[in-house]
Amino acid sequence: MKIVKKAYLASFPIGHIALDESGSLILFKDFRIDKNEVLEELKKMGYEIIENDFSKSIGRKKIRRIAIMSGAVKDDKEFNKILIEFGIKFSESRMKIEREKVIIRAYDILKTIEKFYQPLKERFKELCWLYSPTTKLSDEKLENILNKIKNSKFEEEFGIKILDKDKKILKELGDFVYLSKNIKNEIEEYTKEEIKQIAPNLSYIAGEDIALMLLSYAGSLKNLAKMSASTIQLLGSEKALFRHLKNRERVKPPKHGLIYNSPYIKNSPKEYRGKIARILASKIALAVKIDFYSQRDERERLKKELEEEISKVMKNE
Amino acid sequence: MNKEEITIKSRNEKESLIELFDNVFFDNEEKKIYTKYTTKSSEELREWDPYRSKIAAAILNGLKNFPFKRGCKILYLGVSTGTTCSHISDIISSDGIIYGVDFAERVFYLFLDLAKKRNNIVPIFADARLPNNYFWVEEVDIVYCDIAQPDEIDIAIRNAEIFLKKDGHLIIAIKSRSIDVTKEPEIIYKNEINKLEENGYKILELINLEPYEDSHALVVCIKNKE
Ligand SMILES: C[S@@+](CC[C@H](N)C(=O)[O-])C[C@H]1O[C@@H](n2cnc3c(N)ncnc32)[C@H](O)[C@@H]1O
Repeated sequence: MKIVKKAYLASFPIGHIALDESGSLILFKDFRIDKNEVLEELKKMGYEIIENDFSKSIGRKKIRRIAIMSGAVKDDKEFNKILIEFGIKFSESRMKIEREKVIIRAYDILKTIEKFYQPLKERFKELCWLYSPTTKLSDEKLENILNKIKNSKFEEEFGIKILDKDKKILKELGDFVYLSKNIKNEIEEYTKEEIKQIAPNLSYIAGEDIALMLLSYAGSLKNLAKMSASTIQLLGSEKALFRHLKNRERVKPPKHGLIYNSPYIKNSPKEYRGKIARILASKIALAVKIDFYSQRDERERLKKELEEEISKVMKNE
Repeated sequence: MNKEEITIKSRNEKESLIELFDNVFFDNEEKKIYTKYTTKSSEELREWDPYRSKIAAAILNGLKNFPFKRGCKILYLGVSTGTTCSHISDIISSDGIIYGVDFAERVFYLFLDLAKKRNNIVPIFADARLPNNYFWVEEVDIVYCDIAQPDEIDIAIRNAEIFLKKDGHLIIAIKSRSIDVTKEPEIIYKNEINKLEENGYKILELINLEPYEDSHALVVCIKNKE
């Protein structure tokens, strides 16, 4: 009977360590080596590879000493340095995930407020109109009214005597409209500022608005980073896509989803939009990957490339 | 500068300064403790406030078992903004290392700043209930747990099982009010101590932290098994 030797393998920030049952070293490879290579090598040596809690537990006891002995790090201080850097990256990326959730929730709230703010404002204008029917209310005029109402200067605004009970309700409604608008603007600023922090490249290429829509739609930066350019191009157009799939002859496939809101597409002639959407989507896909995986600042390069490619298309090159 | 020189220098400045443990000084006149923070270019005695740091409170209340030493490896659960952690960082100096865990985002930003300034703190943003997320931490000499949760002892034991070496120290700050407000602190301490003993930990000391902290105690024990 052939006896299979067992190798207990565990991967630590400093490297991969394989030990036998008694805790003797089989091999150690530093963190620059890909794990697959380690697996290959152990298989070639005839080991059955086991990766479980026991592997981690015996690896944990020896990892520092072996990393130093093997020369992967010079001494304890260098070992510490690598772990500190790892811990900072580990923590920052985990905190970022939490940030994403906060941003997505805030953005959902913003959309909800926007949805009710518009009709609320219109209805309030109509109410005010009853007291001063001669002028049609513009948004600027409304601004004025809200300010005056805030200071309870009704007569000055409407030029007629208003019943006290009407004043009370007008003031409360006015304050509510006013507050809603302020909160809406504040959350808008906040979400834009936050998306720039967690996805600077994406926000720069797509604009904060579209960046927020994409993030909210994908659910996380990670999901978004995994998407292909063609998926991103159609993101948010699922309904249209579905209609096309149901009835291929009569309904054309959608060309662009959420990213259609980009000025790069909106401000260009119809015949180019499909091509521009494709270019934009592929730059967005790249920007998200950079934001998620490496966090480098490549904003200027990406923008330059994007604009060059677009102008090429427009010149029919 | 070596230890003797510093003590002499400190004596010159202050007659009453005594080195209690590695890098921990006690000013007998003012009854204050300090830790010494050494960088390449400077040394600084930093006051260790017993009202903000339970270990400092325990020292002032006569703690005898103090395993924090130069070169120690420590897993610290519930670092918060890092007040206590910064003093432990002084003590263990650049030869040691602290793995500092917390899961509250707001405090963690400040803790990250501290970790970036020092050269012996590994920040770990994670839930101490889920040690699998930081399985990559090496074996340590001390597990210190200060998380003010009802199931704190269970969490501390679970972490010590995984990360603490045999004969290593497990130190827990017990907040009786977060375990059960209706019970007397003494009964709760007794309960928690029993749990530790049942799990194979030998109790060395239990220090009450009053008057610095209400209904808090620090328990120091040793892991007696592999
Ligand atoms: C009493 S404070 C710690 C104070 C700190 N040890 C000091 O002396 O400076 C408790 C900390 O534990 C953290 N905490 C509570 N439960 C936790 C858990 N399950 N995982 C990680 N941290 C936790 C809290 O976020 C809080 O920052």
